[in-house]
Amino acid sequence: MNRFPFTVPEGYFENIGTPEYLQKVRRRRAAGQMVRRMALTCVTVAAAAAVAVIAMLSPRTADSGYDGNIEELYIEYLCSDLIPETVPDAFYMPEEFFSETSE
Amino acid sequence: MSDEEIMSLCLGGDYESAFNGLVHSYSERLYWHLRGFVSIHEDADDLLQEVLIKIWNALPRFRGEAHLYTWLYRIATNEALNSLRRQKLKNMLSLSSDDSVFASRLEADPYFNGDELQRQLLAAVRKLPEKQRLVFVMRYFEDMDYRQISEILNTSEGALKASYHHACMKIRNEIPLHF
Repeated sequence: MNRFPFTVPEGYFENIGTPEYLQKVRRRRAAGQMVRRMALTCVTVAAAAAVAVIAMLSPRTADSGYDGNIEELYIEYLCSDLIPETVPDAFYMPEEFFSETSE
Repeated sequence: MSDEEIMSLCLGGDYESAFNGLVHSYSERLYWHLRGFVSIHEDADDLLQEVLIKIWNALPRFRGEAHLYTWLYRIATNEALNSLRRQKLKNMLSLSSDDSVFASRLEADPYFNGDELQRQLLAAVRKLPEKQRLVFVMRYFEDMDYRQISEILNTSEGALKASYHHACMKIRNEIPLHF
């Protein structure tokens, strides 16, 4: 190691391996585990909050339990008079078609 | 305690005794290995504790397929590289130059007793790409032979020699007046 321009504090290597030093390492290990557990908890809570916000902001269909395909939904709306019979393709048109102010 | 005794304790499940044996036999060597990468005593001391924690956690998984020293040096080398990357990121986020932070910390380190040339050498080594830095530190500072470095880094001796040559060329360009 004579190319190293470094020194160490007196007694440094003798201290390593003593019960006190090993205790310090164990405490550091325990602290690291606690930090990791806290970080995991924060990430889990943040992820759950994000999912809740996304679910809240997502548009809902009239029937929130509906899970059928688009064709079935079209038939349902047609039968419920939500889509004018004279304009059956209105279902597929942009939203502003249904606006009261649209031409 | 010999490597065989330590491995025997580890494979027999007596991790506490194996760990104590490792600490007594390898701490100093691992310290100097780490110091070669980080230069500052405080950082090397911190890193050594992290490495010992990693070794403790990994002991149950050690199967003795690699030599003990190879396994230990790999853990230490990976930890050193992770530390250098974290330090670089920390400096970037605080908008500080990695080089100037290192230079001022080295200046302030009471356990650095090198001259200006050695200061420049350490700064130049720090600028090397990772692989070249690894090889240079292990070859030049730790005086390891290529066979040992090859086992630790899992790279061919030929590739290591090429890396070392390139590292020397780059350092020579950084501090040309002294070569």
